[in-house]
Amino acid sequence: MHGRRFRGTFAAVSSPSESRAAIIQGDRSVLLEVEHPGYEAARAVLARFAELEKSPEHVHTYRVSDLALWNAAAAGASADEVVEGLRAISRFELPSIIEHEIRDRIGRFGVCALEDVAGDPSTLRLTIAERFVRDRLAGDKKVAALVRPDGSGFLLAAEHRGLIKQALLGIGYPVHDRAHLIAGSPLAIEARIDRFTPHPYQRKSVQAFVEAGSHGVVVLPCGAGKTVVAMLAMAELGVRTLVITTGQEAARQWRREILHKTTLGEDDVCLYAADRKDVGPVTITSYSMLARKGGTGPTKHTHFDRLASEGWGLVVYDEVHLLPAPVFRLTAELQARRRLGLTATLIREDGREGDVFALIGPKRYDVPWRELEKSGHIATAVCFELRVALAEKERLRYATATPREQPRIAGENPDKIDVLARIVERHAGDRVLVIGSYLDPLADAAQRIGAPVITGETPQRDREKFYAAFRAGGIRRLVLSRVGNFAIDLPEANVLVQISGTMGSRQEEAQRLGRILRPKPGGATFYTLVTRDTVEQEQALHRQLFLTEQGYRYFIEDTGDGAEETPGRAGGPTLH
Amino acid sequence: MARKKHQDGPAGPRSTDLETARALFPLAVDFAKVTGLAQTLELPLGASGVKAVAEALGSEERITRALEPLPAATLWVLELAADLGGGVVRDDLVALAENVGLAGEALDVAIDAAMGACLVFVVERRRMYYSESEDYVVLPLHGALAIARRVQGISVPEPPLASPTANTSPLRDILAVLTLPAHHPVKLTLAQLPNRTSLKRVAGALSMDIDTLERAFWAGLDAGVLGMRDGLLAPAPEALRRHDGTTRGAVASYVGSEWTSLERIARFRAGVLYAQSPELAHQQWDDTLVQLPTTPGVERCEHEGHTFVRRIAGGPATDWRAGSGDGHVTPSLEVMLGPDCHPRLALEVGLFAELVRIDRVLTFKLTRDSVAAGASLGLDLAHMLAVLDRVGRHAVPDNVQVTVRDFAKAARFVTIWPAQVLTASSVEAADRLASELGDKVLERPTPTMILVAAAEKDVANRAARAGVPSAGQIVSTQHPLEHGPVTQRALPERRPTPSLRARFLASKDALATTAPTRGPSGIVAALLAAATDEPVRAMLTVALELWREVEAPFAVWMKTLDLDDHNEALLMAQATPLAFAPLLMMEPVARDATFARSKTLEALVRRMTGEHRDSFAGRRLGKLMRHPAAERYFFESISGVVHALGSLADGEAAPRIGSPPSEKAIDLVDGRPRAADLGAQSTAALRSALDGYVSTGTDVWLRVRSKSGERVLHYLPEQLLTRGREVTLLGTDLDDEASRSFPLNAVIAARPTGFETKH
Repeated sequence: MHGRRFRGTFAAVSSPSESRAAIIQGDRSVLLEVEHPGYEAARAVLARFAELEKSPEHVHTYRVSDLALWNAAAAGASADEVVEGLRAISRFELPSIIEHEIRDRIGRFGVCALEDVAGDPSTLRLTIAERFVRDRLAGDKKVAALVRPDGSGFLLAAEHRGLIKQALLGIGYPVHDRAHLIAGSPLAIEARIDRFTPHPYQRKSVQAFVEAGSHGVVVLPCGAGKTVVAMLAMAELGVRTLVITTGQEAARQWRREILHKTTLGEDDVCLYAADRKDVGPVTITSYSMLARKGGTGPTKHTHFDRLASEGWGLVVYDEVHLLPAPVFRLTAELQARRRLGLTATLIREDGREGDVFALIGPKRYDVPWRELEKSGHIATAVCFELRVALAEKERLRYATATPREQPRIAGENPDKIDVLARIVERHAGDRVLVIGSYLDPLADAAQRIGAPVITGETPQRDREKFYAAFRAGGIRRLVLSRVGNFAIDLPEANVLVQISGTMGSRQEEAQRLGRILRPKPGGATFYTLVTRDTVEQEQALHRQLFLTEQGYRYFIEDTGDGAEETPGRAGGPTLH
Repeated sequence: MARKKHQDGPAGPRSTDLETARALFPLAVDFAKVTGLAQTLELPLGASGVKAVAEALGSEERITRALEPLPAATLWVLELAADLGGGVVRDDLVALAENVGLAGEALDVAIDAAMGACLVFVVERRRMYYSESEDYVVLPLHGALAIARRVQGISVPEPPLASPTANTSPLRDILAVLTLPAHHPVKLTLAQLPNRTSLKRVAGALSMDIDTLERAFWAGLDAGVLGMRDGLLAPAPEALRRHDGTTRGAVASYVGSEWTSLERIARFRAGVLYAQSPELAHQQWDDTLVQLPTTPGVERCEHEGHTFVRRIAGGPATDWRAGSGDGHVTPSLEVMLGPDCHPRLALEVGLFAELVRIDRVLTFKLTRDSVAAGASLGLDLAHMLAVLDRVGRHAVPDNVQVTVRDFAKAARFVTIWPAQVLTASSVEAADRLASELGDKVLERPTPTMILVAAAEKDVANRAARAGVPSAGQIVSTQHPLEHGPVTQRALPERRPTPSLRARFLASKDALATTAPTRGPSGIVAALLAAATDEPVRAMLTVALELWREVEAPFAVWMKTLDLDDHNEALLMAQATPLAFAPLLMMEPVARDATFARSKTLEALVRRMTGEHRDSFAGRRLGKLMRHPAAERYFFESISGVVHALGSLADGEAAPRIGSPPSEKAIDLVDGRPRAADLGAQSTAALRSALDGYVSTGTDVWLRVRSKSGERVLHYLPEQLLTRGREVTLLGTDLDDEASRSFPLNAVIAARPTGFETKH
């Protein structure tokens, strides 16, 4: 079947531009053929001014979005360069609207700029080159209250720096922030390169970040070592650092990593959490801590006000795409600090990518996961969706349940445990993580496969003990509740079985998969068990779309009505 | 008739002019204006006759000399006339001249110059059926070839040297757009046009211009590739497939591997047909200019203001099943079709995947609903997977195959099959039948029952062949909905055998004398029996069929009216049954709704002739009634049957046309007939009858309606004065001395006195 044709995908024979890999569409999306000889060249061009939106197997979709163009402009790219770049890779003539829009958007970068006012560090000057934008800003009641006219621009208090940037981005004009950043208290810190060797892309990303003024976002896939990037940046800048993470578990992992890979001692790296609120040269806290209201400080957020008063020279935002909305507002207060955002994707479920751009900074560096997979820096993952019939005794209950109850019945399908047992048996020599959302089946699963189970109620000490045993190889199977979703650093795991899903949450799915992406021989395998013909199958479809758009290979297999059949039969791929 | 033949210069008419003109235009009438021809043709004095003229006209030497001083515009006229087979309608020339920037006056000058050189002549041509005439610019028969050899190709632009980039195919996009109604609900208005609100939603989803979308759907409806299902617009897959094939069919013949200007191809294609059918030639011309550049496998470019086309070397496969490889099925359930994809593939994909973006690359999304929509259009899973397999050079991703299978499995729809139920007398008979019917058998629910997908006649024939003759009526399980929506529903065909037809025609007079039923269908039947012209008969045949269907609901509706309106409606239906054509043509649901909403006759008439009018244009009866010939014949013949109508309205046997009305005797009450004894007559019949009574001096009984009720009056003919729609009764009723005038519609019937005594 596959040898029968043809001339090339999206073929345009007899055209001199045939050798070009990209098709540029009127909505500023760019389709790039991965197997085309011109792919590498085109990808290099697009990396400068387009976001990678989807990267399924054969065709990647980029988008020349406004933010991507402003990122490019911030990096010094001109409209001519972008247009010529697109022409150079485009198989067909550029749609006329594209050139116009690119020139318009890039022309907007630099129209508004924030600068220092000599002799007055508490005030900033906002210069606006276009009268239309000036009038628009002056007409906005909320913003007008924060600024006062001054010649061709406005003066504003330094603490309103973030708000003004947000407001201007909201009307389509990014602010070129040239105002000073607080140097921060110095910190003697170096990377322990005797213990690890940073990957070249990690060094490059730090270099790009620092050269661009030390505020912006680095985009690396899960498992690519974003923590290392942050540590290298801390070492490069040598300043006191506040690290904000997604939760306590992640915070502890950060601390462990920093202690292991830098010259800092136990006292230098502190956790600012609910139980212990230590502040040190490097302090690690969580978004939820910062968002907690209370106190009489300037922002009426106790912990934020407490931490904001420290002389941080760098603030690190882990998983910046998860930055909760209240923290955005608080982040606006931290505009005078160097800011490093770390993420696997700039796409936010709430669509607030613009706020990340305005408040953290433009994207400074990114590497698609496929490249790292090719180079062996992250593991090659294969995803299997295994369909399991709903247990006979549960069918009536499911049929008569309310829509609210149905996901739980499907998720707790007892027949999944049999399938899990067979998977574990098949992967006898592997390190297997089992993750699920419902606790009862997790207990059953743990009992069936003889593995410890960690839930939210497991004491921290026990958790650490199990994690350590897993890393050391003493335990080869571990069952986790949702606590395992984020930042559990178990790089040895190479098989993950999700026995109940994430209600279709794309981020959660990606995070779970990320647990097994650390490079290892033989790659990684991700199983998700889905109860057939139930709402779970529908939710699995959303996750399937997300994972395939990310470029993972995804197979769907039916385990049959009974438990006798082996996954992977019926002509499907052979399971690992 | 020669249009104008004037020459500048001193030459006056010569004796040879007349001979020359006769040779040129043997049927021409007005030779008086034909002057200077002999001189122009350089005929020697005394030369005459057809031969001399022909020689002069065809003289290559003369033609070469004559062409030499002519301006470019004249040469263009000559070239076009030659390209179009030797002549061109002047109005067409004007239209085409606009394309080359030639104004009307300049064109006149150009034509005059050619006429002055006897290289063209302008003759008046009258076309059949139309009273208008048109000027036809023709090359002389003798000499046309010589002229054509010298002028053809004179305006053909030089082809480009460079190869431009191929463009995308609008046909691909159009076909994809026409599949949209499969996935987006598009309501239809009462006039069966796409509803704007629905269109807005679809256009918004695709970032399309709503007017463009509307035009595409209109065109789809016109072409019959879109229809209606459950009140919504729906694609007709088979029609769309045919549409694609037809559009692409002609390309191969005209487009070569070299750049050729579109106009040249257009002229060639139109020229073949122009002399026989300018309409078809116009269509060819337009098709060439519009469709050819957008046809798959054809590359186009613009060069020095002209459009050139050529066949793409090794262009897309002519058979879409071979696949183009110009696309992708992504694991994230998207289908992308590149600019070079076969339009048929875009169509096939669009039937079960929702089009989400029209651009250089068409993007479709496979969803549960889209696959279900495809399944409801009759596509099976194997077909869908096969289509996906043809999209690109990579295999369809595993997860896509499984997911599409899931979607197809979950699709909920019902397929309504037209089927015959056969109940055999025994299992053995059923076996023989099943064997004969082969793959026509759908199912065998019981040993003696067979469901068959075949026409009733076919089943009967096969049953006979199997030695199982049919007994009684074969029951059809065809669901009423299977007849399809209005836009797809064809009126029943009437194709009688020639012998049956001959018998029918021979006995139509006898048919007319048999007693028809009362009511509109009876009237129409009488009209049909009396009519001899085929267009009228065709129309009346259809009208009769429809009236029989409508008569019962019409009667029910009339009962809901007040008495006056009831009588008025009855009279109107009997007098002018064809006036209800729009009502007859409605589908039953719409018709019932119209009845329900119309509380008066006036409302009914307004509804059926006003707001719904456009929607009937395409219906068979509508077409027949709009045919100019049918209309004329109908009105000519209808006057001849008016007496028959009057009699029919009385419930009497219809007379043969031309024979006096026969009347039957009745009893009198109080010396005069009862109102009920004077059956209602149509307005036309009444007028005709009254006129007849006046002219023959016959006393009459008049059945009239007034506020006090109906009564029968006795009048002398000289007391009757009909004026317009009024009937004025002069003097008084002979018996009760009442003196009134009534509007004509208050007079229900008129009968000659004495008819009551013929008992």
